[in-house]
Amino acid sequence: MKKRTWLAICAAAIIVALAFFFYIVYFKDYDYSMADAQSMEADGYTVSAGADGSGSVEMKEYSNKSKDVSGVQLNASDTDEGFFMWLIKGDYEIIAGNINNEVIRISPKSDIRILALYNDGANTPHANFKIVFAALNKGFVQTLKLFLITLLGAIPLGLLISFGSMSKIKPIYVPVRMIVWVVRGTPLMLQLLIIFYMPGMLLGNNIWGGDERGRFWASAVAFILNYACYFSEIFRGGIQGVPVGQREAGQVLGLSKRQIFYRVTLMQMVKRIVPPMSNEIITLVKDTSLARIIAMQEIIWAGQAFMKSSHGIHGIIWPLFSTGIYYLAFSGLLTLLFRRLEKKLDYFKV
Amino acid sequence: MAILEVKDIHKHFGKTEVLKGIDFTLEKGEVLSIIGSSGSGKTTLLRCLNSLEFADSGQITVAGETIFDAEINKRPTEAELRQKRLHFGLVFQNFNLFPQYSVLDNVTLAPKLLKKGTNEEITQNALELIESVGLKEKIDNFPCELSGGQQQRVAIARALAMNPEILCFDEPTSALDPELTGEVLKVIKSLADKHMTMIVVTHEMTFAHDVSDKIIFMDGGVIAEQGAPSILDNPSSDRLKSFLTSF
Ligand SMILES: Nc1ncnc2c1ncn2[C@@H]1O[C@H](COP(=O)(O)OP(=O)(O)OP(=O)(O)O)[C@@H](O)[C@H]1O
Ligand SMILES: [Mg+2]
Repeated sequence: MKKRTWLAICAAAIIVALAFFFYIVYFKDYDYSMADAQSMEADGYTVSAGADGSGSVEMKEYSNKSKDVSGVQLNASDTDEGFFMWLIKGDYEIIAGNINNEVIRISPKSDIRILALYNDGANTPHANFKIVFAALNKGFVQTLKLFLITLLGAIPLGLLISFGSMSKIKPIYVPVRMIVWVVRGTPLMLQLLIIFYMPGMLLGNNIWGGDERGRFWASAVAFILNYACYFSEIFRGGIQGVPVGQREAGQVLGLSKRQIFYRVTLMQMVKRIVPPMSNEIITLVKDTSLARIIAMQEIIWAGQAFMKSSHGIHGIIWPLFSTGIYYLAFSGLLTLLFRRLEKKLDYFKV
Repeated sequence: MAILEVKDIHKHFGKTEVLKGIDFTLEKGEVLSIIGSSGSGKTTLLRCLNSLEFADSGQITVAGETIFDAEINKRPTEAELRQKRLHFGLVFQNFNLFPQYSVLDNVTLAPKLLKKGTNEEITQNALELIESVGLKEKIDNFPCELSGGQQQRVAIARALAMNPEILCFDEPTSALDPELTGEVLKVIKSLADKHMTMIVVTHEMTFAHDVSDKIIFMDGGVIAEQGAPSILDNPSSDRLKSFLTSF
């Protein structure tokens, strides 16, 4: 096919994807919020109990003609901060104050139906965009930090482990290969949980600390260990993959060990290592989301928070779905970079 | 005085004795062909000469300098080893060119790293060598862009660039398609005409017969018969007789 055809197809795909995204954001997520609110009907009763004096509720009359709902906006101060709901007129009775007052009390007449969470202009989807993406950006910075620290730690550690596993000394290679086997044979998610919770169980206090810093470092240790083991196998393959004949050819020409390593074998190792490493590194981009399991505040965590409540926005799921865009863009960028590198190394075959 | 003296070389791999006492001498400018069936120890012998393996006993002397003596227990240092290796060049069965370097860089790499002259001298010398093996128009190509025969000729130029006293070949044409062996053998023959001292392990009997000054027939780790190329026409041992009938 022609390049232009491809471009047209790509453009069309992007437009469809965007349209689909906005469809979800504006319509489907609205429904989702409704469903979420319905399921919280019990909360409605808790709020109404406030009418008996055990809590206070703030109310403002509100009507949204375009969406054909009317009722009051309710800010229940004893529930989540900034929790807005629409209640339908007729479901409740005002027992104190006046609808024009700042504070009124209501009592339920029958079931209070909670219609939606987007109560006014301040909380419509497009007003949420800024808040949501700011939160996602912040999460993504955490994701990137974990990604970079993992590479920084796992590459040298992986080299060390690969030398260990290639050692001819039994007390070195046996334990090293055991560790590699255990780490590669168990889920990273489990390793994260063990590394985060084990010290607390054994020592009685969590060495990591319960805050975000602690969770980040626990994640970093788990990721570095895990990826070092995977990298070590790649390095081992790259190093052992260079035929002995290459080293011997250098030897009979009188080259020193250093010269043979730097001038003869190194490039061939790099050439062998780059394709599997790029796969592994792109997998790492997505694997960072596993740190969510110990509540490290990476981008999935940031997106998921909006399903419950985050930054005064409640019950929306599109921020979580949107995190995919970040992963896609970043792994796409890496794919391009690695493809370039592979192209650069294309001038020779091993 | 012989340029190469090999005395009573023994070599074990584990329990199997691969070389069971090898003795021979080689004069400067001579071509020695080593023939023998598979597993008879030909490669191992060449590797001992090039210090890629170390014999368990025996001595190797090059131009009066003992480069190996099993009696002397002291392990040579890396620097000593490199010095000893420079007496020999080795052309491998499967070429072992450095894939990431062009033809010219393959030939100049070692002389440049070992500072065998100025860069201009080294390049000039390399260009002459590459031309002498008939690959002048390929200097900027990479090994993967060459045929097997061309790669082997580059490997020969690369070995010659270090100016070895004795050039060894381990079955230089065995990995080649039959139509490509000729071009490589021609290059080796032209070196023989220039009185390069060479040891060639080969299965090419006609080549061995026509080019060598001396033939060694190895069998089961010993030299079963050696002498002038005429021994190929009139073998005295039964083992050489039966070996030659397999061709
Ligand atoms: N590194 C090694 N370890 C163990 N055994 C070896 C090693 N190298 C060679 N051998 C054994 O030594 C014997 C001689 O091997 P060598 O390669 O020298 O034979 P060759 O005469 O060159 O045979 P070919 O014609 O097949 O190349 C063989 O039986 C081989 O299996
Ligand atoms: Mg051999």
